[in-house]
Amino acid sequence: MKHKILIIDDDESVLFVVKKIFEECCEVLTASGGEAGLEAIRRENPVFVFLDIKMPGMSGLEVLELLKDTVPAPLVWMLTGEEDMETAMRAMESGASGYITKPFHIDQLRHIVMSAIAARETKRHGGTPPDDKPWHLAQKKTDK
Amino acid sequence: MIRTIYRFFAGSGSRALVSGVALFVLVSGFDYSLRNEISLDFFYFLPIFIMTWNGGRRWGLLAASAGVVVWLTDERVFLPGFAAQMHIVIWNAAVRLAFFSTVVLLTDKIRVLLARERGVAKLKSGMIHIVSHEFNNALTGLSAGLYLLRETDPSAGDESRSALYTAMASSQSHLTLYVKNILNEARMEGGRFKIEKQPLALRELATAAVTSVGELLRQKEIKISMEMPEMPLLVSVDQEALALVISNLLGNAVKYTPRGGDITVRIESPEERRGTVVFSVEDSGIGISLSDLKKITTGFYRTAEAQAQAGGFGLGLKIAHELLELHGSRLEIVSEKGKGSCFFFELPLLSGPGKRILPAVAKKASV
Repeated sequence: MKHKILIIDDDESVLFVVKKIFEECCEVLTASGGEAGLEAIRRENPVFVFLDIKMPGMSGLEVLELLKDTVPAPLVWMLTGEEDMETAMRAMESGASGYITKPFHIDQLRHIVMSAIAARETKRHGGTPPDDKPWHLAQKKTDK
Repeated sequence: MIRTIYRFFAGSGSRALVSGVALFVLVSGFDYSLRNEISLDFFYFLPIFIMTWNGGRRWGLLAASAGVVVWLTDERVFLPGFAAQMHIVIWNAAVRLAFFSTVVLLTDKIRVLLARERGVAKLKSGMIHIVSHEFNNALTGLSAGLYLLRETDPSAGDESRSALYTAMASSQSHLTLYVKNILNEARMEGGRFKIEKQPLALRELATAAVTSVGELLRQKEIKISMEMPEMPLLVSVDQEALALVISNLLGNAVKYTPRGGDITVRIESPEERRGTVVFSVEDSGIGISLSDLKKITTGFYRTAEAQAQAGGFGLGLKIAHELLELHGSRLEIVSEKGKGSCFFFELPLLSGPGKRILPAVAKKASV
């Protein structure tokens, strides 16, 4: 069975390309905006979620807050432009597993999803997740 | 310190009014008791200034009038012989009023101009955020789409096709760099740019930068050579900042070197400057005259020749210079018109193991 991935972004072209990137390996769902995204998470229970930070209406951070008590919690990675670094760091504190800046490299995107899902599978089956090289740990980079 | 005191007494409209009145009372009290022997006229300005700065022109003029009235009651009205000297007193009062009012109007003008400037700066920074957000979104679609196209195209191996793809990718990465530059410029102007240093090998950043302009070099038939010692030289720098500096320097060299020219990227720790690493990008381009040299690092400036040769702003060099300044270094230029230029900077050499850097911008928290 294919893994379910959800992308939440208000930009149609981003939704389209990310869907195309993963459509072979996984079942890809898209949601335009925060409320729709939340809806989709509750209804479809994806294992991995790409969440855009800046959206009209409900923002990425707000979605994260509301996701806090969801079980099982999906893996959430923030999609952010460079101008949003501060918010990305705040998102990590709110439960996001990481962030990637736009425009991103496609291999990186694929690697993130694959290794994150693999790590979760291993944990679920009681093993230790594979060594996460070559990612270096998140740096606390703020603009204040 | 003065600012905090000022804010405490005159921070809000009502506090300014109270302080103004209190000051008037204080000054006039002194004035009255000293009976003309020691002049306290100057201090009437304090309450008038506070009222204008806080309340604007109207309150200021009110305070000016109050000041004249207070002065009259202090110094003239209760003195003997007042009635006889009425015309002198009235004249003096009028002069004072005119003087105070001029001060009020000037102060108010300054106040308005300052507020307007602050507003404009805020607007500009907000706009840049929105614009770069839109750009980043659009670039995402472009770069990902291009990648997928290449991946799924059966004739991608074909030489002319491949060259087209590379050219498009090159353009897209140039645009991405440009948006980064603009955003960093806005951040630095707002004074909010913070760097985080880590040990890095400059050669990795250099190699990455050279790869990304690869297609453009091929198109312009420019020969690039990289000279670096066997062992990687390490420096303590902010990765993203230095990556941007090197990309800008290299991009600049490629842009202004004519067809068939040469570019040399050099990393060295020269004998006479032990303990430092010198990174330089030398090109055989149009060169820069002495008078233009200084102007380049100070802003959106491009020499007349540069404007003829290529499009774009002179933003890249300015940013490179500012980012280097944040590291305690500076961008140096050696150039002769018509003979090419060498852009270089110097950083203290680190000894010890460095961190392997990646072309990625993805970051992860410990799970």
